[in-house]
Amino acid sequence: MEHVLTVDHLSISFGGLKAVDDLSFYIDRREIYGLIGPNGAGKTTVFNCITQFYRPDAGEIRFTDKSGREHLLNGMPVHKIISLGLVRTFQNTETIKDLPVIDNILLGAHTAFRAGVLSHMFGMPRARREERAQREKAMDVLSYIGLADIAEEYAGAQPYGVLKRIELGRALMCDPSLIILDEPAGGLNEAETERLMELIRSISRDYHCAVLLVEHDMKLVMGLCDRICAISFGKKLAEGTAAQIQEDALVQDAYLGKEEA
Amino acid sequence: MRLVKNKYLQYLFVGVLFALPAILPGVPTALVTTSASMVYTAIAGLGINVLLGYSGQISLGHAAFMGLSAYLSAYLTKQMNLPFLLALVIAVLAPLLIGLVLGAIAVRLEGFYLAIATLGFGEILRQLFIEMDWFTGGFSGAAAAYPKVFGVQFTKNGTYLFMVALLVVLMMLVYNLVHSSTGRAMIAMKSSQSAAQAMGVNIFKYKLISFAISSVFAGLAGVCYVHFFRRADPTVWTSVLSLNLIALVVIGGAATVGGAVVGAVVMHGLPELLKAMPVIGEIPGVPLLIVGFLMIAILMFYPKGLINIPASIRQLAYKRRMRAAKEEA
Amino acid sequence: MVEFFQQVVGGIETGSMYALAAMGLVLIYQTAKIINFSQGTLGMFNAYVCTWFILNLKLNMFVAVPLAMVFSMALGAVIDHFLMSRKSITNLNREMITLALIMIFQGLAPMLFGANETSFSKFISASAMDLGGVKVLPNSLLIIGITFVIMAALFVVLEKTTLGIAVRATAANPETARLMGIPVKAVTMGAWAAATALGCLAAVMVAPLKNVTVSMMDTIHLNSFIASVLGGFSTFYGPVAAAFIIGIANNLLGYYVSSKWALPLLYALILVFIVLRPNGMFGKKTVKKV
Repeated sequence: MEHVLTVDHLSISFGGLKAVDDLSFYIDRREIYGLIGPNGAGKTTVFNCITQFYRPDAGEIRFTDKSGREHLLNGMPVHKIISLGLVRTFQNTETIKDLPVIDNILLGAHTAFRAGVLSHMFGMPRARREERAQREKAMDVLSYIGLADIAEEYAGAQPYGVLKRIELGRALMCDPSLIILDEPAGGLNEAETERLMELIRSISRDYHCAVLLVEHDMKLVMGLCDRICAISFGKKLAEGTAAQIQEDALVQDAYLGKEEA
Repeated sequence: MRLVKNKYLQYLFVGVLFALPAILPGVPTALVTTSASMVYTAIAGLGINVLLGYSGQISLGHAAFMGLSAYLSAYLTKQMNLPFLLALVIAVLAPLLIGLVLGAIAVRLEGFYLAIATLGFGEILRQLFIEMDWFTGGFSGAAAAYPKVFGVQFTKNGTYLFMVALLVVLMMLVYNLVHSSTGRAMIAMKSSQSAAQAMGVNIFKYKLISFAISSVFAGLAGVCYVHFFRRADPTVWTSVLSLNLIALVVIGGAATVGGAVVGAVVMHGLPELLKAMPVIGEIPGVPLLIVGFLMIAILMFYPKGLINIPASIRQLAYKRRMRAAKEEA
Repeated sequence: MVEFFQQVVGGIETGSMYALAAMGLVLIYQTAKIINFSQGTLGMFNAYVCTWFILNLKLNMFVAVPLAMVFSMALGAVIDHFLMSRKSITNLNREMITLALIMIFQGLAPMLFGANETSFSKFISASAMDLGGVKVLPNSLLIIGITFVIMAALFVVLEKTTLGIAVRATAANPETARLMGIPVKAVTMGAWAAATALGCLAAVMVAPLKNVTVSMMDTIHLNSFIASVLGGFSTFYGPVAAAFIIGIANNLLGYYVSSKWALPLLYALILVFIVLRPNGMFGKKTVKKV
């Protein structure tokens, strides 16, 4: 079985500073994979390279979609990535404040709409049908993540935890093969983090997709991820299961704190 | 579905209100003229709202698009004797094509490039309007007649009603647009380009679409202008007009369909009111000053625009009732 | 050949005015991260103020102009403090406020100073000197001289002084600058003040040619934008260089091709250039943090 995502010798520099240095890892279908490292280690940069918000200096990023076809992500326009089944969330939740919650979710289905601009303007039957169908799907997603009762409320009025869930829901609309989560637990308290862990587990199970996440909350990472990759200064330190990572001396030194002998 | 019907009815109601001066007997014709100014400005304003309010892009040259279509329509109907509807279509095609070309270049670049490109474009076109007097009639202007559609010759009031009907239809079209995936893409684009891109929105395509729509609306407004006022000269299509379009959208309410209409009413109604007043009416530059102040006040203190006043009042009343109920309990 | 240099000298003179205005644009863009669309209009208004100083207060030109520049600085600072400083306003809305300022000052100028065109005399009225066949007005030399002095002063301040570091730090990253103890609010206010003064200077330089009217700054205003586009908004010196290129190219095109179509032709060439090099001549591609 091919890997759903392969990062192969990824490197990128910003004005002489090497942010990511020859990083390689892969993710299998249905895996929950974690990326950890101290602040500034380059984790979000890795995400941005994968999703082509940044263009890597070296290395290849390969993605296998639901039909088994492999794609080279390098050089692909950002907006084409989601149609392959690869979707991401953002560290600073980028929900659209001026739209209702359900419209935010519907944004995730943007690529599913086939009807053209004129069709939308003149309210053609095909456009209406698509809108109705996607709205139903969006309500299903909202129920799944537990936000169905605020569907018509404005996103701008929602608390932070809800915004995080909206971003997650938005990612589900495209039937993803891989969801990339950028610090999904950032700013959440313990109870909310527990609920988030459950949600991510269910999503991986029910949507048959892999999850790649960056997190600082060690309880979440160790409890949720099948495999973890630890990086520091853009380089890979160690890779393995939660237990293996916790034992690794390099990781302890760089991130978890040196153990006194 | 029911909500949609409701909005359509609202727009029809607005149309009926606007139609009244032309239908009721005994109304001074000056009122029809002022209303006509409001209507064609609202049509252009609707387009600017799609561009600015929903997609977050600034254009400083839309007056040029209006002028282009106005001159084209006048030329095609008067000099080439084409039927009105055909001339309308061709006249609106011109800003569409130019908008696509100009937009295709400008929207690839940073946001402010579009503003500067349209500023330059507006200036060049203004010069062209003066130079190409075989086409535009130069300083003395171009002349046109009330439209003749399917053999029926419109009068002044007939032309006005045609404009009102056009406005209502366009409002419905914009409503449909905004509540579709295209509208969502534009609004997302304005709010967070990164999120929009990650969700599959081709920024370039949608910026271009919103620019194209706004230039078509500007063209329609220009055609309405020249066939109602039956003249067009270069003093109309100035950068101040482009600025006024932006101002009215902001004042009326950006990112709403009705905002353009509210803004247009304020923009044309206010100077008329001021002219009637004893002292202020004499001083030059006052309307411009007031519009500018109003725009800044709205931007700083009430960005949602005047059209949201009823909603805000309702919210305040609701909050007051809630508080009173709590105190009683 | 003589005509060529004649046109070039003329181009350097107009280029100076574009450069001053462009410097103002870039100053505000770099520090406050917005385009000040009212740059030209404010300059126009301040030229009116200067004229008022000369005609009504009977001040000497060489007193009135610096005084008008001081007034401009105050005006710019006031605009920044009261209108631009609220945190809750988006950058797009701030730019629209500058659009509204155009309307306000275009309305204010005729209201306060009357709708008639007023003439404005040159700094130096002496007649043209003959330099190797090229006729140059002493006034033109003064204009060019002043511009270069200001550019040099700006360069020295930016590169060699603490104030300059504060400005460049704010331009690079306002958040970090604030954390480092740099008074970012003061920097942006200073930028607005300086930019408005530069606009005023450009306006009084062009006033003898165009008279003091509401539209006097239109060409300079537009060309200062084009210069900033051509030169790239990300550097201070790029738009200045571009401003001179535009001034000279406009004159040369006007003389050798056609005076009517010089400007549109120039814009078309610049448009082609921008398509090929979207960041301008000296601009650097910025990678947005996501």
